[in-house]
Amino acid sequence: MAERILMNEYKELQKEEWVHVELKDDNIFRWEVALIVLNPTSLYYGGYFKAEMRFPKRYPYEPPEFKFSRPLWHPNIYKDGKLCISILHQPGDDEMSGELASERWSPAQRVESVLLSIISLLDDAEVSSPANVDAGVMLRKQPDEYKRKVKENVETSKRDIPAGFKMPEKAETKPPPKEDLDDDFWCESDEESFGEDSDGDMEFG
Amino acid sequence: MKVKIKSWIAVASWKWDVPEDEVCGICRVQFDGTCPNCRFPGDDCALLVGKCGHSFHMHCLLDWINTESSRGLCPMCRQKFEYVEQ
Ligand SMILES: [Zn+2]
Ligand SMILES: [Zn+2]
Ligand SMILES: [Zn+2]
Repeated sequence: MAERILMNEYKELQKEEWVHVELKDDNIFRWEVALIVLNPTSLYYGGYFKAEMRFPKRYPYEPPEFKFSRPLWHPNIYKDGKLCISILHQPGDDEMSGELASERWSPAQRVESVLLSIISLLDDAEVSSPANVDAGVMLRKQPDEYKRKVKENVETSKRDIPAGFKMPEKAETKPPPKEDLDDDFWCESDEESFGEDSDGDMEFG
Repeated sequence: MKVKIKSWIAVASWKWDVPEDEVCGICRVQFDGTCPNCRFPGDDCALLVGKCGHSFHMHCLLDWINTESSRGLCPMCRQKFEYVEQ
């Protein structure tokens, strides 16, 4: 069942301009995706953010995994490129995290809804997320410095644009705006990652 | 005794009582087809109509309900899933 659903979703997403999808090793359970930010008002406009997705055999009953290839400087993105975002969590995992079940994964969710949530996460960071505490502090206290780091990330991401790939430019093709997300959308107290790498050094290659 | 057939009305077509283009919220297949695990439409791959207004193939929904973390909630609206007896 998972194969059939994924194949359909894969074909649908190939028609979209805001995302570039390819299979890794012809394996329908492993995708290479790139999120292309087409909204000119976004701080991430013009970026080509590569990531890898892995799908469980029990998809869509279990959520996929998502990992940016180049970790972005962002309060909700761990330094290994993984995300702190509730849509990728099964309801019932870590009861205490403060996420509402209503924002968690369900088999009615799709790759498209996950990717759109991630794109809206970029500009709507939840500063209290533990994924990258330093980035959260910087966003609050030194917004200009934060913007500078984001611009660096955006520039670096462009190195991943495949040769011959034509970046879409029209803003009208941006994904439909998501409805407002309330504060509980993000996972808030995933304590194990607190304090890790708290020196704030991140390098962008 | 001979029976002469005078007219014949075909009654071999059937449909679930849902809008034609409605798809299962889990597998996204239309309800006049089976869930991805079944081959023949009909009773073996029944349709469950939820009181919340969301419908699924029985097989698709059971796979979710049997997942511990589902807590018996509808995948679409996350209310407790109860189906309408038909
Ligand atoms: Zn179904
Ligand atoms: Zn079935
Ligand atoms: Zn429902």
